[in-house]
Amino acid sequence: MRLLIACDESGGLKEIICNKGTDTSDQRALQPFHNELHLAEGFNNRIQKMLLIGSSHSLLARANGSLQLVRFDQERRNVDEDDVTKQPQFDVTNFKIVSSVEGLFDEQQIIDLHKRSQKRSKPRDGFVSLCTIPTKATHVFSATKSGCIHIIEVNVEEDSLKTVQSHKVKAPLEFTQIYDLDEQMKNLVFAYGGEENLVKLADLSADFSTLKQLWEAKNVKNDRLDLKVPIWPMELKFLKPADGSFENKINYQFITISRFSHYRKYQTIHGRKPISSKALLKKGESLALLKFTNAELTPLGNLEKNEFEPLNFVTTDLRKNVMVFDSEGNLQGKIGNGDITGCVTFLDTYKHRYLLTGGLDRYARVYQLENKKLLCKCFTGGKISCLLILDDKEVEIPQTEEISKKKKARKLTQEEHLADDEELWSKLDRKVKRSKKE
Amino acid sequence: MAAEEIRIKNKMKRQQLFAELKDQKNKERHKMRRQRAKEERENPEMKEQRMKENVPNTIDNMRVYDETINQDAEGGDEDFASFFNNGNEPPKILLTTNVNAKKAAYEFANVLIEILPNVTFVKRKFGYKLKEIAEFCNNRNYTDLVIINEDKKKVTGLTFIHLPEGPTFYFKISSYVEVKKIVGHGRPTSHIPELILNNFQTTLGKTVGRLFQSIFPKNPDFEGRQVITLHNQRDYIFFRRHRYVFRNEEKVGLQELGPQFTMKLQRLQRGIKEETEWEHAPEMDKEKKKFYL
Repeated sequence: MRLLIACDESGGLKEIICNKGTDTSDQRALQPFHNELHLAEGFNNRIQKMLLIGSSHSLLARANGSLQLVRFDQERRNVDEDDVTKQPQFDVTNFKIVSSVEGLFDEQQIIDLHKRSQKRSKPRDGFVSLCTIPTKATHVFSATKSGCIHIIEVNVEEDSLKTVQSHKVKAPLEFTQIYDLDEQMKNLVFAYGGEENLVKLADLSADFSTLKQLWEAKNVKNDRLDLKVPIWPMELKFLKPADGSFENKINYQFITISRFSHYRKYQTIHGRKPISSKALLKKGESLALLKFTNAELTPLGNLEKNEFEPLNFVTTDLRKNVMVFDSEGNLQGKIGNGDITGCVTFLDTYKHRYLLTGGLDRYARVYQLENKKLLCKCFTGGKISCLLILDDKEVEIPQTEEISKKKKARKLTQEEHLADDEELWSKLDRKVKRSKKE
Repeated sequence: MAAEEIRIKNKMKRQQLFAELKDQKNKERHKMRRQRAKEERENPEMKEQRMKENVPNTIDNMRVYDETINQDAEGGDEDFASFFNNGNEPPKILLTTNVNAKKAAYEFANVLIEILPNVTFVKRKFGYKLKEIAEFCNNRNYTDLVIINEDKKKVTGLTFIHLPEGPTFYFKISSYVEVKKIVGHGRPTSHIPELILNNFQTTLGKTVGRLFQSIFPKNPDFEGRQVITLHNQRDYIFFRRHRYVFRNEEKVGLQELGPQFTMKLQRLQRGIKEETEWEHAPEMDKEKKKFYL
């Protein structure tokens, strides 16, 4: 398994090669074969988002407001000739920055917004999303906390990046989510929202020149003390539109989670308010990330279903929990409970096989999505902001003679065991027959 | 003969016999030790060898493996500097209490004013949010905000917030011994003390150590001969303050200045009380040999 990890402290990219069963916190377990830091630029230029483009390029979004196009290639690791048969053979990756775009942030806007914000720390602009546009694979969509939407053209052959168009939406943003469930759609529809910024759907024309707001949600009604319910959606995921013909009506379905632990289902044909709103956690703890765990997912993580049931999603809070919920918002279980000690800042699924987590406890973890079993746990030395799996191939470990001998011995004992079992059964059978005779 | 092997039914007789046996054993042991000490005085190598061979197992040296111990910080110290002072600016600390604090908190504040350098105490008022307090501090170039947490007339915790971007530490406070209760205590002077940080090994431990490093100026007044020790043992941080004197080339005299108290890290948060980086959970205490600092 080849992991690419963005570490905060060094502001670099770490390549870790490991097999299933790796656990760096256990000396007896398998350890990573390779762990190397690349493109370190320091804490202030740390990587916030990563995106794979094709098989040999990736985009890095850094905290200084720049986007970097990185080309990588793999080469066989140098091993001493004597050790060729003893050491595992694998390729290591070389990274090279080939192009970059800068100045994608609007810090002043964030400072102005901070006065009304509930966040206490000094505000900094940052990337909230980076993804390829489903209708145009050569273009990338990036969004920042300050509401700057940039469309960037990536030319892989010429190794170049170019800002095609920039737009501004109402800030602050916590998320943007592109709708990629309709293949015929030429325009780009995406949702966004944030602190005191209700969920909105926007439509970007096919040539990216005009941006118009399609739909805006309405806050839920006041609580029983007639106080306004605070607005702070954290994540949104789309479902397929509702069945039936609704002429002249915008038809989208999605779910959101909020900073105040609300889980809401929206149907735009139904109205601007959510069709249901439920607090997932009793004390209204903050939720942060959301990912579906169903099998029918699009590349951008939306669900290819038009019904809210059955639906499973994983979400994280700001403490250390990674929780699995069903469509009704019932807790199905926790992942990594007791093992994870810091807030999980990155959560993703890979090909409906693995669940990846990384966070402030500096461990990258890979779980089997099916049974939530921990497959890999690697200490990275830095807080993790992003994690990618380049490939999930296992590295072949050359077996020494001693190990193979031991294995043979074990097999023999197993056969013996079977023979013993048979003897035991035959004995028991005899006894039963005797007792019957008596 | 062991206690259970004495089969005398009379309890008084049995006890007497047992006491005699025990006394005899003690005497033998003392004799053996005296003799060994004598031999070792003549031949110091023997003692050295005995000490080398006879290392007792302690909970500390049997601690569960932690790969973060003695690992260099990723990206070096430079990146830590954005979290903590890089030594160019002297620390400037604002000290306050929780809202509606009682006498105990103010008394503890008086003690902390003597310990912390360049500190200003501000009485906590109603109606100011933490965000506003942090902004107030930022505008006045404070580098740290320290909040004393008092509950039911007892000081229970200390919050350290590094400004302007965090991190935030919350420590539980216990075993507080005031200066007056320490026998033979001295009177502290206003010199900047030296700092001894003991046994902060893991990445988390180093972060905590760095907090204390950033709170005390890096240019101690050596003529004051005052030392503050923060000794970490099994995740408890012991605070002690002493004055030393070099009596001759071999002997050093120590005088405790007090106070004494013990801190235990409960929570470390990114920013000003935002995402939790590490939090103590009760189930962590189950495993006696696992330590986090």
